[in-house]
Parts: sequence; C-alpha cells; structure tokens
Amino acid sequence: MRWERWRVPVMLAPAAFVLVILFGGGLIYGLLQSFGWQPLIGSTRLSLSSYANILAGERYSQQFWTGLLLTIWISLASTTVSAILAVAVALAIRGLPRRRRLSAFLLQFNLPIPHVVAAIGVLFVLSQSGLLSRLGAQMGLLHTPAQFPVLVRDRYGLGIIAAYVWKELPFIGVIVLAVLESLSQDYEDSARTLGAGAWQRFRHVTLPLITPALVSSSMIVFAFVFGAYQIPEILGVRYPRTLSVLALRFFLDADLSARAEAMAMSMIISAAVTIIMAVYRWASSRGDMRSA
Amino acid sequence: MGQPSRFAAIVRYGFLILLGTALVLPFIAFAVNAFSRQWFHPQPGPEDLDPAGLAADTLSPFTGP
Repeated sequence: MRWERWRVPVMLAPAAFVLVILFGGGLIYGLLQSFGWQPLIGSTRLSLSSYANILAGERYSQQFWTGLLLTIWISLASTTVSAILAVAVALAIRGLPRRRRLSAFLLQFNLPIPHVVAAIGVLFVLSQSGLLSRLGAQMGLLHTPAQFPVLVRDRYGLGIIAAYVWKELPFIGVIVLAVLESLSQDYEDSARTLGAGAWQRFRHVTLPLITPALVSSSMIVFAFVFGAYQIPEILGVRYPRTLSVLALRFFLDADLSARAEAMAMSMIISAAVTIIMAVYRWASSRGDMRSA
Repeated sequence: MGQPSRFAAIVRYGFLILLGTALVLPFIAFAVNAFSRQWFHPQPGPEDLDPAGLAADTLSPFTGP
C-alpha cells in the first residue's frame, strides 16, 4: 500500500530525469552564459550587458531587430498558408467518393522527411537553375533559366516559407482530416435541410468543429518555425537572417565573447515560444470553460 | 443530400492533383539531379580529354618516348 503511492512518480522518473537534466540543465547553462558567465575566457561576472547589446548595441541590435521581424514574418506566413491549404485539402479529400486512401497517403508521405532534405528539395525546384526554371526555358516561357524570379535565397524569405508550407501543410492536414473523419455528417445535413449553402455550412458548422484541432496544430507549427534554423540556414540570405540562424552564427563566431549574445538570443527565442504557448493554453482553457 | 456538381468535382480533383504535384515535385527534382549527371552528363574520362591520343606521343619522364 505504501509502495502504491510512489508507483506513478517512480514510473515517471526516467522520463522526468531526461527532461530535467538534458533540457533543464542546458537551459540553465545557456541562461548563465547569456549573463556573461564564461569561465573558459575568464569571465565569471554576471550582467545583463549581452541583452543590452542585442537590444540596443551598435554591433548587434540592427541584425537582431531585422532578424526578429523576418522570423515573425516567416512564422506567421508559413503557418497561415499551411493552415488554409490544409483545411482546403482535408475538405477536398473528405468529399471524395473514392481514392480517399490514395489522397490521404499523398498527404502523409512527406511527414518523415527531414527539414534539411525539404530545404534542398525546394532549392532544386525553385532556384534560378532549378527544375521549374529549366522547364520554363525548355517550354519557351523564359529565354534563359536565369529569368526565373528569385524565389530562394531572397530577402523576403519566400523560399523559406515555401519549404515550411511543403513540410507543415501535411502535418496540419492530417490532424484536421482525422477530426473531419470523426465528425458526424448529421450536423451538415441538418444545416443543409435548413437551407444553408456550402459556404454557410463551412463557416457556421464545419469550421467551429475543427477550430480546436486547427489552432493547436497551427500553434505547434508556429512555435517550431519560430525556433528552427535548418531551412533558413540553407535557403536564407546573409542579411537579414532569422533569429535562430543569427544565434547559431554568433555561437560559432571565432570571437568567443559573442557567445553571450548568441545565448541571449536563444533565451529570447525560448521565452517568445513559451509565451506564445502559454497564451494559447490560457485562451484554450477559457474556451473550454465557456463551452462547459 | 444533393449530388455534387460537375464543376465542384473538377475544382476538387484539380486542386488535389495540383497540390499532389507540388508535394511530389522536390522528389522529381532530386531524381533529375541524381540521374541526369550520371546519364546525360557523365564525368569526362581520359579518352574524352585526349580524343586524338596525343598524350601517348609526347615525351614524358614517366612513360618514355
């Protein structure tokens, strides 16, 4: 009986140990480094100067603020486009009379592809010497492949957004499709018998039912895109760079004192993602309370 | 329950085919990149660099006259 009380904590201990040591330990070490604690170069005084440097300093602030804007733009654009297309494709697949399994497979097959591979694939397709530009030149639409618009390694991150949409659309789509498949057709049929058109049925019946799944999967995608670095590293330009790429560059800088700024940026990214997820949890718990 | 119109079916299938193509396109690009080099642009061998076999006629400290 006495052991019964300890059963759950003991079973959770291995997972909790890994989380606390690997994630929590890294976070604390990173936080200390962001405060300037680097015994390797003889710096053991803690201060907020690295944060001041990236927020208002001459060397880092411009890169930081443009990087922050670019990161927000890429995260918002890729999440929004992925979510809209995912809902459209899930609705299209659900309405198919046959070949639904094939279409569902089409939505799932790129889920296990790593982001680095996705970035290189988009580079091969959208670059000025890529598949589409060569096809365009072969078909006579362009005089030379170089006339193809600059869609990768561009200032606005269009190639980065395309790669994220390619990768995240199926993720949101699979979740929305699973929710749609589990919903009864009765709601829509009732709305139809009451005279609701296709758009009204979607707007007032289907969308409210899929919103929780859509919002939660979109939040995961937004948080991931905000902090990920592989795709912007491969498809981005030298300036502006996203925050994660900037943090990595400063971390790898030959000047070891730049590591404090790198860690400060990483802490800001972590804080931003944590705040976004906390706001989402708060909003969803309020929604649950209202619907209860 | 009404039958979906022909137009709606064309839009639905068209959208799915377009999206499916976009999802598959990077893999086609990978395949083209991987195989085109091997099949259409093979690495030049010694006979491609010296089609007339002139190198064999030249004096060389390694091969002799």
